[in-house]
Amino acid sequence: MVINTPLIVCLRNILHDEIKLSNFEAMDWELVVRQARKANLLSRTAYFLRENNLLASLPDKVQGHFISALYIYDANVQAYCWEVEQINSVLSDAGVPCLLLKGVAYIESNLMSRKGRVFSDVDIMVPKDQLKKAERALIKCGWITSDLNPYNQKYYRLWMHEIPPMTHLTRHSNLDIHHSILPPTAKLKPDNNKFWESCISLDKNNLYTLSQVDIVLHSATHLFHEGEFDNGLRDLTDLDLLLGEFSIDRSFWDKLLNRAREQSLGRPLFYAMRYSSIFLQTKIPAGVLKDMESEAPPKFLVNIMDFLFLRALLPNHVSCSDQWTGLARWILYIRSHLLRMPLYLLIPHLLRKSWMGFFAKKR
Amino acid sequence: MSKISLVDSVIFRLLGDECITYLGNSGDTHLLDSISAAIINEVKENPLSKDVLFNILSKNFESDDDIELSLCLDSYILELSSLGILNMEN
Amino acid sequence: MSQFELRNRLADGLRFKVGNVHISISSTIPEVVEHFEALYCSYELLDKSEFIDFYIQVLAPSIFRRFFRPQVNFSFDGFFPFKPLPYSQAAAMFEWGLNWCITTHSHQYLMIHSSIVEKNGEILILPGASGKGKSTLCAALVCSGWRLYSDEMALIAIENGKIFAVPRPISLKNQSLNIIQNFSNDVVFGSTVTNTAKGDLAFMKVPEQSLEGISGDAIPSKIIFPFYKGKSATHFQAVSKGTAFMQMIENSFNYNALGKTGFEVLSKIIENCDCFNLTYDSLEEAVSGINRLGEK
Repeated sequence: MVINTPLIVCLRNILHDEIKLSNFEAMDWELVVRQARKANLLSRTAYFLRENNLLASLPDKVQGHFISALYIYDANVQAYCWEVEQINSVLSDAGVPCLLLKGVAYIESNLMSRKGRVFSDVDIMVPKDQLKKAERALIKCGWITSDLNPYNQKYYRLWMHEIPPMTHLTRHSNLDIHHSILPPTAKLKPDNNKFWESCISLDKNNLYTLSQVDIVLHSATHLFHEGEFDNGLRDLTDLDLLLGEFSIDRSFWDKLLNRAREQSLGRPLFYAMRYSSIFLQTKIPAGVLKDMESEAPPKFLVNIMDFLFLRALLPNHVSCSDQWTGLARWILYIRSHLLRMPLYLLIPHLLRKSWMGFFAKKR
Repeated sequence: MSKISLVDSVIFRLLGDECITYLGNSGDTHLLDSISAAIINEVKENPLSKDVLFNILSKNFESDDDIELSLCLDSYILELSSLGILNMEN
Repeated sequence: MSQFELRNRLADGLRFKVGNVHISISSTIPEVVEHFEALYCSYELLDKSEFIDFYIQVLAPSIFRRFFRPQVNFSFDGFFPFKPLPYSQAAAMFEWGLNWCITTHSHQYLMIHSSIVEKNGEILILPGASGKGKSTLCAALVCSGWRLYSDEMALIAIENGKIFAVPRPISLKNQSLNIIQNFSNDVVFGSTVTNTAKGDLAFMKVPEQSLEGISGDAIPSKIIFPFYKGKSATHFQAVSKGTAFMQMIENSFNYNALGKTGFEVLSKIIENCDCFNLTYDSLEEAVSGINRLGEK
């Protein structure tokens, strides 16, 4: 499987300040734009091209697409900072701590992984025993639960680790409220209390993020439990940037591995390190990679996962697919469901969803 | 004495008698009338107390009744604060 | 280019430009071939080494759907933004789909839903949603010596406030079709598509003068909000710049997405323009009125 597509070659250069793109021609840049757009990486690529003073020297037509993406990124940041302020204001008044996850966390914590990152939802975590209180307070202030189907409500509340997504009535912004990192039905069961015990308080009142090691573990776990990989390569670039920034402190690697073992999240961390090294040449000390091998599955399974992920993590674009890509994505979709729910719950769930889908179409 | 100032993230343009304001934090845009335009224009550089504002505006807008103008100014300040355009500092 | 050659090029991916927008369209649907043959023969072709902004495919969703209640799908580089439409609407789907591509992916411009025409270095912006009469008025102006910049969207470069032309066939619906056919003898139309969500529809060919020699230095001087109203007199009412600003926001595709930048770009445009509401019934009178405004 060919990993060295123009987008990935470009990312390896610009994320690590090692610019060897002078042999890129117009057609290579066209593929970078097309692949980046499909992978939700257009604004991140644009951001780092600009930061490395490369943007202005690109052909005008190529620049136009990157500049367009940067304007959207700026607006995204502005809109979501405001959104976080509104949400936190409500939760703070209700006495519910607000722990930010993913994109909004990167922005509010001023991490490198905020650079060029666009996202469409605010993800937060609140303590499980305060979930209902949080939901009631938000409903009073203009948020509504978007999916009122009783079965879906049960799916989200009982089995998954979130209440159904909420939307603000007038601003139409989306909010996902979690009470744990993984669903209660999932195979892996990290201790959620430990995430709260180590969380970091931001300068702003009532706002928190996960600790550095936990941010990495959350990103890795989320990515390698996913069923759809439209944001897969983007999430891999998040990991690359997070690891690069946090590992300036040399003791970070030991802390990360210890925490992964403590929280039984060694397997997703193994995959995260493996694939960010392969795709993005993320700088991970050889000793750390060797240490992670103890978290790896048997060799034959690693080969299978390579077959699947080396396809699914590429941009979902015609220039990056071969005859196995469709199959690989489908298998990973099934895998993600199996990771979230045991078979005795999964099969009736999938049957039920197909039934509901069939009747929805008929109407 | 409380002072009235323009919220930091607000930018505005005077278009004839009217004023268009953009609020950088919420992303809202408002079209405001001549009195709002005058108030914003006066406080854009430095915070002003209500009394000073009243004196400046009473020269620009004719009114026989000082009390009426003062009440009018109060209601404008309240409205513009609630829109997130003005701050009232102590 | 012969129809045979056009069909082959479209099957592989016909590469051409409209103003500054570079497009590759691939389709084997006969209605699309006819659409291009009738309306796009004067547009400049691009060779394979040139950068393409939008890779578009217009195709039947499956072999099954090619023959059974036939449908057509629009793909932007492998992404399908719309539900399929009836097969007969393939050409219209290309045009609507291309509008979507541009307005969703061109935020280096402030984009206003409007028609734009130009004469003697001055640009006229005619904002308005569908149904208010802007396309009909735009078509009439284009038949009366105005150059077409676009019948659908104003692209205002954020960097310098310049307006970019994307002159494409003008979409006209229902009675507007008859009105414009009566207005001018020189008009060329593509095939009429019936039973769309917007009624009967056809596309008017862009005169060649609109495609040649666009200087790029023309600046907007007037904003006219058209309101077609049956049996009304032709009436221009001056509108305050503040009111025009708020109406432009309502007609913008991406003012909110651009945040503070959108505000600054729009401010500069409005500061330099006279703004009017135009109520009219007679197209001839509306066009003369606009011509007289330009002379003042």
